Formats: sequence, structure tokens, C-alpha cells
Amino acid sequence: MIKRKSFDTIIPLTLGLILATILLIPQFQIKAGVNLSDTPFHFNRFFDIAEQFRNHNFSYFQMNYGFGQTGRVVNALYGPFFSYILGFLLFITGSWFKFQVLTTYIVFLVGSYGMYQLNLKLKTSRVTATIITLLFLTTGYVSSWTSSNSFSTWGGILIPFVLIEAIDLVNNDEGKFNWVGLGTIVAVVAQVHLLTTVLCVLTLIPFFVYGLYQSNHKKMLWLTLLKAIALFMVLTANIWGTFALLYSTNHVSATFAYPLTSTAITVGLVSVWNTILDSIIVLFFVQLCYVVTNFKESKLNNLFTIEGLIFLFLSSQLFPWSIIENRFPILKSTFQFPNRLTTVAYPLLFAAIGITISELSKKYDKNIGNLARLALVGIILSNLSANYLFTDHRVKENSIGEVTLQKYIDDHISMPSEYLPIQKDMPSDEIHNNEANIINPNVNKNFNKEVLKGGRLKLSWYSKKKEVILLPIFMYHQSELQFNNKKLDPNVNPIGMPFVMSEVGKNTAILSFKTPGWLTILLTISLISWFGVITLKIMSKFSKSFNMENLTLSKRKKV
Amino acid sequence: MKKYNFNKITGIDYLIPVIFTLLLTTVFLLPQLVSKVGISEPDTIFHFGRFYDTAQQLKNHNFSYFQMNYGMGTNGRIVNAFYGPFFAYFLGGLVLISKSWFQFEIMLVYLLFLIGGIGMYRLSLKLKMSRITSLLVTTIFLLTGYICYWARSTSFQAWGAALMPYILMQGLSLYNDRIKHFNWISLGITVAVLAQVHMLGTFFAILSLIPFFIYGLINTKDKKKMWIDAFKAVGLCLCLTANVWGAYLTLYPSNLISAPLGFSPSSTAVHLLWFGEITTWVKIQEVVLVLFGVQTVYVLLNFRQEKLNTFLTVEGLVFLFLSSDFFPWAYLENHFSFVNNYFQFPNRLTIVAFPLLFSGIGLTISHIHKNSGFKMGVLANCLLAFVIIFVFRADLRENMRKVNDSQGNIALVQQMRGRNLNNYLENNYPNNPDYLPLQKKMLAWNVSGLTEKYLGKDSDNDYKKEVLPGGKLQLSWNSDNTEKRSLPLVMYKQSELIVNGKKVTPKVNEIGLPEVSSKRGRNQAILSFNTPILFKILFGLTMMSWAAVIIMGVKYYCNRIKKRKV
Repeated sequence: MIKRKSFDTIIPLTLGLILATILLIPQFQIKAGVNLSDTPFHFNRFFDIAEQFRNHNFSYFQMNYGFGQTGRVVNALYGPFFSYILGFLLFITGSWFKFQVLTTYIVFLVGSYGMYQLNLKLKTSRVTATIITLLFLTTGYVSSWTSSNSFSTWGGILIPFVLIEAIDLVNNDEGKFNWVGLGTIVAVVAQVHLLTTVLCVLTLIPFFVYGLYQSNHKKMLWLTLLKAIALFMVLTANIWGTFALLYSTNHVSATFAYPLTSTAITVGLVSVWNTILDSIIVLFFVQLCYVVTNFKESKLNNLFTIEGLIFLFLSSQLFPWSIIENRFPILKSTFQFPNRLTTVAYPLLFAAIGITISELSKKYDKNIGNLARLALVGIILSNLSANYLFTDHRVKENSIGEVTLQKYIDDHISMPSEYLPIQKDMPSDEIHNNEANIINPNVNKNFNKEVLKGGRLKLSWYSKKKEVILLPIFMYHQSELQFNNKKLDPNVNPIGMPFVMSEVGKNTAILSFKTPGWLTILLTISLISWFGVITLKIMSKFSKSFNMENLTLSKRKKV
Repeated sequence: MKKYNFNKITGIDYLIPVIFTLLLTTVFLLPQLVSKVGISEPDTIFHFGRFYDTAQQLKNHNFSYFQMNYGMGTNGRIVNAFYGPFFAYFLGGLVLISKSWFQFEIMLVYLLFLIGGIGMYRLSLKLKMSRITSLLVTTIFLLTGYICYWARSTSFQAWGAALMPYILMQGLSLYNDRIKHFNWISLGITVAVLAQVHMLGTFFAILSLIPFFIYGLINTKDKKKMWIDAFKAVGLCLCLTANVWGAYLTLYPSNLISAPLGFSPSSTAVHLLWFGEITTWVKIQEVVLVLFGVQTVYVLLNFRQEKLNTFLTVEGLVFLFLSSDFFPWAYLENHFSFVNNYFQFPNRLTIVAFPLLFSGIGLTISHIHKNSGFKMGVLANCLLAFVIIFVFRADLRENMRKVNDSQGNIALVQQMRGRNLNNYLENNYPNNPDYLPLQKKMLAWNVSGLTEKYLGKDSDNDYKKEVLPGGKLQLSWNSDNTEKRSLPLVMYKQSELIVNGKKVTPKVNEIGLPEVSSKRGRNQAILSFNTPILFKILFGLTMMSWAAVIIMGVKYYCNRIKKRKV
């Protein structure tokens, strides 16, 4: 029994290791970090955290090291706790190359483990689970990590874990599902990639509605759901607290706007970003045919397939995104890419295909099941080879060579238009192209930036005459500027950079971020609750008698 | 109410593929049909020149089997006699009834698809597939490889590809010789028809038949009879194609005939590692590759039960391998350069590989249907149908792209739309070096350059050309003084030139253009071709054997109809 169980950990981890290694071959060949489409943005985030660790100078909001040392707020709004984890990894690895290799392995190991467990939960055989896991790892955002460093990948690898909990929403008669698990996993997603949380909720709704529809204990189901939501809220107090604080007092700029139509998926020669290989679509169609002809067989298969196909349809160019784009232009900056929906569509459909294969091998002779599995192997191979060639091309073209952490950040200061304290509504490209936003190392050198204890940023410079100058920092409502030892409430430019009247000779300015007391409390609450959840999980793992379910139920009785 | 029984209709299994293929072709050709834009590629100019020549021969009742007096630059060169002669006359007939080259082009696509469609459907039925599966197999066959490539490239290989299913039907008879002795007459005729259409296709056909023959021979009860009938078939085929090999036999020893353009086989092999966005030429789509993969796996799992399927698939895979970049074409290319000129493109071998593999896939679907029930059969058919959707999508898109590209050249579009067929040919000269009489060995690409120089668009501006009865070409020109000049005519060893009433044996240049002394004032030269006696005999033999075959065929069918009525 124990042996069997350990097998189910070893297999997916091995699969993840192998695939990650294959897709890393191009990078191993050049032995250097690569600068992909989303790399500068994220590496500026992690670099900031790594420096916080190195200097023991923590600052949750104001970023003093990354993003051109401008004191802007990014991490607190973009997967805060997870950026601390990755930042810490960057701190201990100390090189972009090692860091990229390590994160790639983590992506594939986590993704592989989750998808494999999802398949086992759906009672497929090990072979089928292996194949479906490989299919998942070679398609869409998971596989695109090595060619784009897009953060949706991290959301994507967590979706299978969410689906594992989602199955319980359907498969329970008494309305008691694992609310701790559900609340926790969605909270994890929120700490990693906020937008994926929205997708998670969208994914879970059909499961919950279906569960509600067939449950005899509807009230209980609602109650358990509320508990999950409550847990989720506690675990993500830092995030919604930050949003409440910053968005209520600042005019925070939106994320960059992209045309939705061109990033919806279509068939192409590789299965990442906005294209998908023909054979996978064929596979989905065949799956649909199977479900239609065997509708009475498995409710779960129907649910997975239909929901998956709806998400796929929404993510594709078949959906009239141009109309939606004109009606709701806000989606361009909040949702950005319809192809994000594939992070949900693919695991749903692949899992459904796993169910189908198990049913096929049960109903027909062994050959049919084997044929179906081997067909998938063919698709996996063609996927992998296409992705490999694509990654190889991207990696070899974008090597950053052997550079220190600092050098890369200096060369690639990320200046995104998002989360800036703007003074009036303006389109994101206008912010992006604002002259003042363009920070380069020379500007910083003139101002001699230095990070003081307590996460404060000090600027010092010489002026030949009295003049009005623009400081290369951003001021939020909560930011405080001490100019030449005097607290100053300066005028700011449209994107939130302060003007000061420079004295002749040496000038100093110190930027700090005043965190309100209630937010500190919220932050502490979420930290403590994470600590609690993790401790409980570990305890339940080590002592069989200690059952988290029992504990939580007894708590409920007391209330 | 009387229930209508499809199976009772005579010829239903010809009617179905005909109607289906017509519909499919119409959708496939929509970009062309809507825009009325004809596509003109180098091959188009070459082949349309050939057919125009035969068309004019038919129109003027002035036949000339060798020397071409109307098409291909009207310079007396020989092409048709080497390149599917009888079919050239047939297509020439079609040119006569077309109002424009565009119309002719469209008509040819329909004809090609009909021939291929009926063939593949009949082959599928012969393999005992259901009608639906047969139609699916036929569709994917028509939409991949050279057949669908024809509409955008006029690559003549397509006709070989369309006839391949008929060859494979004969192959099946050889394979099944143990059960039912094969019919040597139809085998001989089928190969002969292909030889009259496309020479290289015949070579592939024979290659593809050999494994069938060997398998049949090993399993047959009467080995001796099979050998004898095989030789009979070869004999019949030789009689029916005497004009083809006769032309080679009589002209190649006495002339140094230029080879077709050379291409690097290694760069024109099918790329199996890089997916293409379409399944023609060197590209193959990912879905199609995966489909082949699944078929291979199925065969591996079931090779004991399904001998025929295994046989077809393995042979198909071997041909696919030969056509692909997995095969060491680079090595062959460096060591045997004739491959470059005569074989040209390894991807030609897909004309054998594709029908074999698609037949195998059809068989697999039938077996799944039989062994695992109706639902699984539907699923398997759906799988193929979805693959077809992607193949079709790619074809249509490529077709549209090609039409859009061609639309830009307004002059060319008008030439192809115009009623004056000659207009198009006068403005577009073929530079193909094929079959020109050389004086010394030369690279085909250099010959092509010389062809453009000496026989290009403006080469015959100063000359008036006229075709005389008996297939003679008359050239007249005015000279200001006595001079030597080379005439825009091509002279083979068998050609005869009469300049100003006197028979001459002039010096010829590298590609066979005669240099004659021209006198002041009006000059006249008449080029004719002396057909060797041997060839005349062989040609008579061919005509007689075709006549015999046709008479016998008509008799046979009359008997069958009579029997059915009785």
C-alpha cells in the first residue's frame, strides 16, 4: 500500500523532471539566462525581493531595488507572497541562469504532480494518467514557460489542484466537501497570480451549480461553501487589503491594453500562446463525439468536456472578440488575452479524455484502449517537437549572456504602465510612452539612489542653481517625501512623479511608504492563517490520528 | 409506400463518387470560380503549350507526332512524343472546346478530381469499406499531395497521382491471386494508360506493384500461371505503349537529348520533422502525420489479424520514408547526379505513399467498426473527418492566397480569361530545357538559359511562321544582305531543313538551332521531320493494339449487359 502510494508521487515527478530537462536543453547549451517576452517584468519583481533578503531591508509595498528604484508598488498587487518565495529562490541561486532552470523545474514538477493526481482522482489507470499528464505538460501555458516566462503558466499549473477539489463539489451527497482544501488552493492561486483566481472561480461555478442541482443537502452545501470563502478571505487578507487601500485612495493605472482578437487562439504550428496544433483540436472533437454518443455514461466526463469546450470556444477566434472588445474596452486591459482561458480549458478537456480512455479500455478489448493511448503519445510527440523547436529558436535568439543580477536589471529596467498613481484617466500606451516614465541607469546615477533602513529610498544630487526638477520616483497617496529634511507635499506630474525646487548644492530626498495600521493587521492575519494552514496540513500528514476534517468539524459544532 | 433501395440503382457506386467529387471540387475551387482568376506557373506555360499544339493539330487536321509546329514556341522541338503523347492529344481536344485558358484550367481540375475520386472510391469499395468510409478516404486522398497541388502549380505529377488508385486495384488483384487469379489484360491496360499520361508515374506504378506481385507469387497456388500471365501483361503493356518507348528508342541513340531541369532531391524531400501548414509538395501537416502514426500503431498491434492492412501500410510507410528527408538523399545526390534530373523531387513518391496509407487507414476504420461496434466505428470515422477538415481548411486557404497573389498581374489574368488562346502563349514562353537536341553535355539549367536566349519571347520577331500540310514548318524572312543567321528552329538528327528550295545540312548551335546562309531579299526555310521507319511500325502496332483492346472491351461489356438482361 505504501509502495503504491509512493509510486504515485515518483511517476509524476519523474515525468516533470524529464520534460523540463528536454525543454531546457537549448538553455543548457548556451548556459545563460534568456530574456523572453515577460522576463523583464517578472525578474524586476523577483530581483527586488532578492535584494530585500540580501540587505535584510524589507518593504512590502514600495519597491526600492527593482523597476528602476522608483518606489512604485507592483509585488503587493501581483501575487505578493509567491513573489517573496521566488525572490528568495533568486537570492539563494544568485544567477539568472540557475534561477530560470530552477523555476522551470518547479513549473514542470508541480504541473505534473497536479495533473497526475487529478487523473488518479478520476480513477484512470496509471498509464493513462501518465499520458494525460504529458499531454498537459506539452500544451499551452505550461509548455510556454520556457519560451515566454509568462506568469499565467504558474496559474495554469495550479488549475489541476483546483479541479481536484472541484470534483468533490459534484461527487458528494451530503454537501460536505473539503472546504479547507478548496479555500486554501484558491488562496494559493491568488497569492501566485491574481487573474487566474478569477478563472478559478469561473471554473468552479458550473461544478458548484451541478453539485447543488443534484444534492439533497443544498443548505449544507451552501454553508460549506461559505466556510471555504471565509477561509479564502482570511488567507488572502493581504491582497484584498492592499487593493482596498491603494485603489480607494489612488487612481491606479490599469494594466497594459492588448487587442483581444489577435490573442485569441487559432490553429497553428505550435501549441503555445495563441496557436494550437490541429491534432489537438481533432482530439477534442473526437472527445466531443464520444461524449455525445455516450452521454449517459459518466456525468463527470460530460461536465468536464462541455465546460472545457465552452472555455476553449471563449478563448478562440471563433468567439466574436472584436464585438466584445468594442463594447467593453475595459477587458482589453483587465483580461488582456483570451488565450488565458486555455489554462482552464486544456486541463478540463485532457482530464475528460483520460476518463474516456478508461471507459474505452473497460468496454472494449485492450486494443482499442491501447490505440487511443498510443494516438495520444503521437500527439504528445508532435507537440513536444514543435515546442522544442520553438523554445530552441526563442532561447538561442534571446540569450542575455553571463551577466550579474544587477547588470541584467540595469539593462532591462521594466517600465510597465500598470499600477502607477496617475492623476487623470489616460490610455495605457500614453502612460507607457510618457517621457518621464523612461528610467535608465544614467538617470538613477545622477540621483545617487540609496536604500535606507526601514525600506526608505534616499535620493541625493547636486544642483548648480535653484531649479524645479522632476524626481525619478513615484508617489502614491500613502508615500511620504522628505526633501532636505523637510516633509514635503509636492506637485506631481500626470503619472505621479514629484517636482521639487532644488537648492544650490547638495540635495536629498527620502521616499517612504506609510502603511496604515489596519493593513498591517490584515497582513499579519493572513500570515498567521497561512502558518496555521500549513501546520495543520503537516500534522495531518504525519499523524494518522490527527484528521483535519475532524478538527474542523468539531470546531463547527462549538460554534 | 415503396422504400427506395439505393443498392438497386445501376452504377450507384459510380454515381456517388462523381456527385461527391463534383461538389468537393467546386468548394475547393471557389476562390478561382468567384474571382475568375487563372493561375499561371512555369509548369502551366509548359503544359498548356503542349496541349495547344495538339489542339491546333486537331483543328487544322495537320498532324505531326514529333515536331511541334504550333505550341512551345513554334520551333519544331519535340516534347509531346516523350511526355504522355496520347493524353496530350486528348487534352488538346479539350483545349478546342474551351473558350479560355482559365476555363480549360478549371475543367482540368474537375477532370483530375473526377478521375482520382472515382478511382479512390472504387479502390476503397474493393477493400470492402463502407460507403461513408470510402468517401472519407477519397476526400483525404484528393485533398493531399499532388492532386490538390495541381490547381496551384500545374505539376503534371498530379495525373500520375490520380491514376494511382487504379494501379493499386490491379495490385490488389495480384495480392489476392490465391483467391482469384488476376486479370492480365486489365493490368497491362492500366499501366499502359498511365504511360500514355505520365512517364515517371509509370515508373512509380511499377515500383509499387512489385511488392504486390511478390506477395501474390509467394501465396499463389499456381506460380507458373502467375509468371506467365505477368509476362503476358508486360507484353500487352509493351504493345500498347510502343509509341512511348519507341520514341525514346529511335531518338535517344541518335541525338543527345537534354534532360529536364535538375533539382536538389535533398531539398525537395518531404519534411517529416518540421510540420507544414499544408500537406503538399515538401510539407506535411501535423494532423496527417499523427494520423499516419496512429495507423502505424494500429497495424503494429494487429498485424496478425490484418495482413492486407499491414501490407498496405508497410509499403506506404516505405514509400513515405523514401520520399522524406529521413532517407539519405544528400548522399545519393552527390554520387548519382542523374537522380537530380530525372527523378527531381523525392516528394513525388508521395503519390504512391498517400493512397496506400489512406487505404490502410480506411481498412483500420472498417475493422474497428466490425470488431468494436457501431459507436466505435462512428468515432473512428469522425476522427478521419476532423483530420479532413483541417486538411481542407489548409488547402482552401492556400488556394485563396494563390488567387490573391495572381490577381495582381492584371495582364496575365486577362490573357488567361481571353478568348484568344494564342495570346497567352505568345506572351509567356517556356524556358524548359526538356528534350532539346544538344551538341555536347550541358547542365540542364544552362540549357534553360540558352533556351531563353535563343528561343525566348522575341526570338522569332523577324520571322513569319506558317505550318504547311504534312506537319512542315515554313519560315520566311527578309534579309538586307547575304549573311549567316541562326534560325529559331530546333533541329534533331531526323529533322530536314530546306532553305530557299535547297536541302541543307547546316551547322547547329549548342541547343540545335541551325545556322544558315541567308541571301538578300526574301528567304524561306522549311523544317520537317523524317519519322524513322522503325517508329512508324511501332506506332502502327500501338494503334492496332489499342483498337483491338477497345473492340474487345466493347464486346465484353455488351455481353455482360446482355447477360444481365437475360
